[in-house]
Amino acid sequence: MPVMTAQLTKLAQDQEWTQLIALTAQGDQAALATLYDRTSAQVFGLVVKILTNREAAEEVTLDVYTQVWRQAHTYDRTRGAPGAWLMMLARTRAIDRFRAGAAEHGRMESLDAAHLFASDDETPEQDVEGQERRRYVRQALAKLAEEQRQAIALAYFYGLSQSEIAEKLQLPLGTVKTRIRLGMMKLREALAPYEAGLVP
Amino acid sequence: MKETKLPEELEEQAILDALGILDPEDRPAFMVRLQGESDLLRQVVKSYHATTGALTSVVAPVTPPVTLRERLVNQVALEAAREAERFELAADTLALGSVPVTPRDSLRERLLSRIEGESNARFDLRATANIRGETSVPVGEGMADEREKRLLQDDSPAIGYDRAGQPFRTSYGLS
Repeated sequence: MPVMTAQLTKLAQDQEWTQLIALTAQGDQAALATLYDRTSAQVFGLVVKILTNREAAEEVTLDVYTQVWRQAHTYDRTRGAPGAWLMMLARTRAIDRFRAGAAEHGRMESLDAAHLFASDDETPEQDVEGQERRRYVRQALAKLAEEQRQAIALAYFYGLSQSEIAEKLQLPLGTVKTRIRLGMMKLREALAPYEAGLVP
Repeated sequence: MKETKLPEELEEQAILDALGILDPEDRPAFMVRLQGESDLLRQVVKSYHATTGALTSVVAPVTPPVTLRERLVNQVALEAAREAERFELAADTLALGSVPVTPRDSLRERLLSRIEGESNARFDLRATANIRGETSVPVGEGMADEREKRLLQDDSPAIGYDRAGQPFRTSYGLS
């Protein structure tokens, strides 16, 4: 896909989603339903990945869109794209649910971060741009050491603090800090051309 | 010389903020620095947020069951109805809960005086009509105004109110 076309597609999508969120803030139920139709697969996919439980993921997804209904007025476009806002809500909700379950069932020990970056597309996707983006980010992740990917995934997808990661991996805190810092710096550098729109 | 690299500690905080695991104790100070520091910190923070944002795109989309959409639509409709009900209740409470304020007595006097003034004017008009009747002035010549004619044909007594607010009928005995 040519760079300009991909950027225009993303721009048009952001504009549509922003408009849908604005209409939702005004109490337009149909706008929320349309936003759900456009975004629920991505939200549900993320939540399923984090929770590894479809039933719990359904409840969390429902909570996410109910939260959108209640808090659409708080969305500020200048602070980020609508998709990023939505995924932040989904991730936060999923982490809350995960941590509540982990505290109850002691799941933290058996936590496996490797599956988060595994290539296992469950849904045949029509979104070419989405596939392209995913491929590019995976390539960037492949440049990191496995230990760095693991530490970053535990922090971002499960909300584990550096101390919790150190405890789980039975490593010194300093080692975890270094892995996260160096891994993130490398990832940022690898993704910079994509984020700048230089790569489709 | 323009700053090109953040101190290590600050960059680490920017990373932890983007990952969503910045220590709550460090957050307030970090936010203050973010507001006041050079553009470099803001750029770095934005860049790390874009980096972590990209991580979510690695996860493949999964279509949720159709029933989930139905549940959402029903739930939101229910919430909207409840919200409307709460709004109505709040509006009623506000309207009914407003504190009554007794107006000054002079306002009552002014009102009564105005009513009385209007009644007298009416009386004068009827008296004038009787005089005109005696001199056989044909209706239509001296009183072309239809509104004036209707006033003269109205024989119903006026209604007044005493100080207790009780209505009483006034009759000016024109007929």
